Amino acid sequence: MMKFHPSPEQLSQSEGLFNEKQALRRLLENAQKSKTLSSARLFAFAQGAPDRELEDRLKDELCVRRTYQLMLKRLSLFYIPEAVAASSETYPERIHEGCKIRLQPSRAQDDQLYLILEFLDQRTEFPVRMNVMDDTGTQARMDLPEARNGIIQTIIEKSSVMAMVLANPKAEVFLT
Amino acid sequence: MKRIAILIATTAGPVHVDRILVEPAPQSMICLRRSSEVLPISLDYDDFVRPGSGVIKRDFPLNEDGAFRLDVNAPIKTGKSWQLGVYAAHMVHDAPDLELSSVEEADVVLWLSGTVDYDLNVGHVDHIAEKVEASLDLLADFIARQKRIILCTGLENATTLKQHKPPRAFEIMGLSSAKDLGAPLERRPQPGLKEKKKSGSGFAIMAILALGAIASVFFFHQSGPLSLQVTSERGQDPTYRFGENLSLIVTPSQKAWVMCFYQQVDGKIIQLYPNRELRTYGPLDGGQAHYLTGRADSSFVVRLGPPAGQEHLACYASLKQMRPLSNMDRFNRLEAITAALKEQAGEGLAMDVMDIRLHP
Repeated sequence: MMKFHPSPEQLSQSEGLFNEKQALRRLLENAQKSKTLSSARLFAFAQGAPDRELEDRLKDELCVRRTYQLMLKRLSLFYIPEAVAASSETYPERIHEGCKIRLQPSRAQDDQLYLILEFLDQRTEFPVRMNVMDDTGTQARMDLPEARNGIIQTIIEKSSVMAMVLANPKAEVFLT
Repeated sequence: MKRIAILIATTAGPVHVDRILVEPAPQSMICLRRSSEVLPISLDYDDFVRPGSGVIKRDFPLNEDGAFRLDVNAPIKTGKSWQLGVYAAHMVHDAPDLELSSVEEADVVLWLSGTVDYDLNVGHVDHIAEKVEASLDLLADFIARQKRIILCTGLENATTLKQHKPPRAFEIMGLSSAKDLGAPLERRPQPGLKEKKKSGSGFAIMAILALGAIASVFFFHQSGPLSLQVTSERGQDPTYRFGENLSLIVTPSQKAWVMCFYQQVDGKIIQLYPNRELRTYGPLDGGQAHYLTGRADSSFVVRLGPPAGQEHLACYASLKQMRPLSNMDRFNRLEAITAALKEQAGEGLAMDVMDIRLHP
């Protein structure tokens, strides 16, 4: 049996090489996948269909992310680009074109947050789905309950991806 | 501090109100087992709470901005019969000398079913027998634990419950107003019930009594002679003119299959119910008046016409489904119909008749 004892420098160098090779393989795979991406698939994902591969590609491929964002914008009743820049709160409040979105920690359960969407105009059509995406491509989607008195309210877990993304002031919100 | 367990009766079993809290949110909600799962009736609950449309914040005002969060241990899917239980829970939450408690620790267990309107009138609800049946195991367990149990409903539902002679351990309280809930919450326990010394043998005796209670409650729902009452909006001997619509109301004493036959002046007998106009045909709930025809929401209409004279209507109820009678032309008397149905249903067949006068 042959034994090889690399030095710490050699180990670090090998690790770097393997990582680069892995990244390259992933890029090549993604390049192939890109050819097969259809708008129907993006649309189904926006409507809540599970698609793990697309989730990964949204993180890795800027062009897929841009296409998805563009489609969501077109579908949206409300598009909220980002929270107020100087907001220092854990969960920044978002206000845009008559729609206010905020997260309010529950007093009863410290692992839960109230997600509150308030519509300030006298509209009759309300969104039924919320998609959010931050600047790293991390995204979350959820069905919204029925609006009452211009308010949509539900509860989300503090540990959920939705809460994590909404905590990022740069995250965009699409209400469809 | 008196501990009160609130159980909202549903056909899937009793739902325990775990707690009520004030939260920094605009809408009041009902959540399942303290989780983030919000029950679909939450919007109706918010309406029930909100001043203007509802009664809770009007009667139990908050000293701060916010909304209520009510946690329950099982889902409540639809309907409004939860309103009485929710009102009672808020009454307890608001009272300084009362607290919501688990069933195990409760001094009093309130089992409630009823609607509550803006003037606090308590309304009648459907499926009360099914709700009792769905609570049987738990109620028997309460008897074994020597809990004071009060069944609170509207007056009409309470009358139905009392007519069926439930076990003595249950107190039945008919409420015309939700304000009347103050009485069961403040009355002293029945002598000899709470004060009994709890020991192993005592528990065994109570467990045996509880089993008896189960049998008794089961009897309440399932047995007893089946009876049927037939009437109309004009009483049991109605008079109609040509062109008017017949009103037919049947009330079986228990859940039962019902058939109705109409004998015209010329002697011809027609099967009136069930008929082809019905979308569905199933057993009718016991203890409730069912408007088979004559109301806007009835499935079919019977318009009366010539010749003038006396006509007869007979309805039959059976615990098991009866087959349709073939070749109706062979029957020229209602007695023959009765005999044919008795062959199917045996002595368990209940019937009632109504005579109808027809004028031009």
